[in-house]
Amino acid sequence: MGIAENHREDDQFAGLIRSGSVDEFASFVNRHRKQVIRICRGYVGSAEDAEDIAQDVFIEFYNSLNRFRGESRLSTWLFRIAINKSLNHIRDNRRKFRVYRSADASGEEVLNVSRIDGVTDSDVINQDHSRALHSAIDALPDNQKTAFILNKYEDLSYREIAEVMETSHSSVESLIFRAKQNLQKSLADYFEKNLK
Amino acid sequence: MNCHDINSKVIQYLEGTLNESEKALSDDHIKGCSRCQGYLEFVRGSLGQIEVERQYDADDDFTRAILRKIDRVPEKSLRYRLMSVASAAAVIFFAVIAGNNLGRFSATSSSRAPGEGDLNVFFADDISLEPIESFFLLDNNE
Repeated sequence: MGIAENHREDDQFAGLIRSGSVDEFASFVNRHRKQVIRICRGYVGSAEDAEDIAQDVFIEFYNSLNRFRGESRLSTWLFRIAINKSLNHIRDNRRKFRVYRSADASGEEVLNVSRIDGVTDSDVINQDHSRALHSAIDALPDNQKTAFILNKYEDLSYREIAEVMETSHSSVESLIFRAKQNLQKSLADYFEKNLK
Repeated sequence: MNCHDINSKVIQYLEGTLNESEKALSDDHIKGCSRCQGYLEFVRGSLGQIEVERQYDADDDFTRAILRKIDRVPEKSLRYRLMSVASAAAVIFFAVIAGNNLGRFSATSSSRAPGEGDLNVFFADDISLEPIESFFLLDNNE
């Protein structure tokens, strides 16, 4: 399907949702929810948090549909909302975490992970991998993080990432290259400190 | 090739984007280095989490929850918007009424009080009755 056809389909679809068609909106959510949850999960790690953010993304999408001018694809617009919501969530949580840490009288900043009954060793290894991955992604600058997540979680091409991020193809290439360099450093640090 | 080189090329190694000679050198080092074998497995597992997380999907309750929320949100916001417009209209209405009354009150009160208004009328009357030269002449004489 060509870009022009995509745009026409998006316009028609946006029109149907604006006119109050809940069925159309529900089918839109069902079609895109996995993608939106994936993007949010790339940023926040936890499946529950990703689902909560994704719900907010669709609600904001629905409420702001009147502002959609058809200058980009509807999915591009949806992804931008998902990126902004996820980044805001991370910022808000960091602020809360800082408040919590400053209230800690002992001054210890140790993350205690308690072992839950029924959790197997392979679950623990997966948790380790997940924690290492997300702490490494979290340490990336926002634009490297976004380019990396759209590429690896959403499988978008560099051209599509450039469209979502409103930047050039070469910038995306450079962002992803630098993201990988930084991830390697963070993962190596994590390995040396925790698992060696 | 040493452990540091493996650290800085591990993603390319796993993605299979190293050139042949770099790949061969890396393989040689990894074969003889238990630390790098462990590290390689760790990075493979960590990046492999992306694929695990990509498979996740919410159940149908996800969509139902959104529909329940948007069913309430527009209603609420419409009611809220109508209330806001009505409140703004009421404020403007009362402000106009109050302004009108205040204007009338100050106009009345100033005419009652002895002041500038009376003086102006007095001099204006004088000017209209007398030629301007004699008016100023009279002032000077006084």
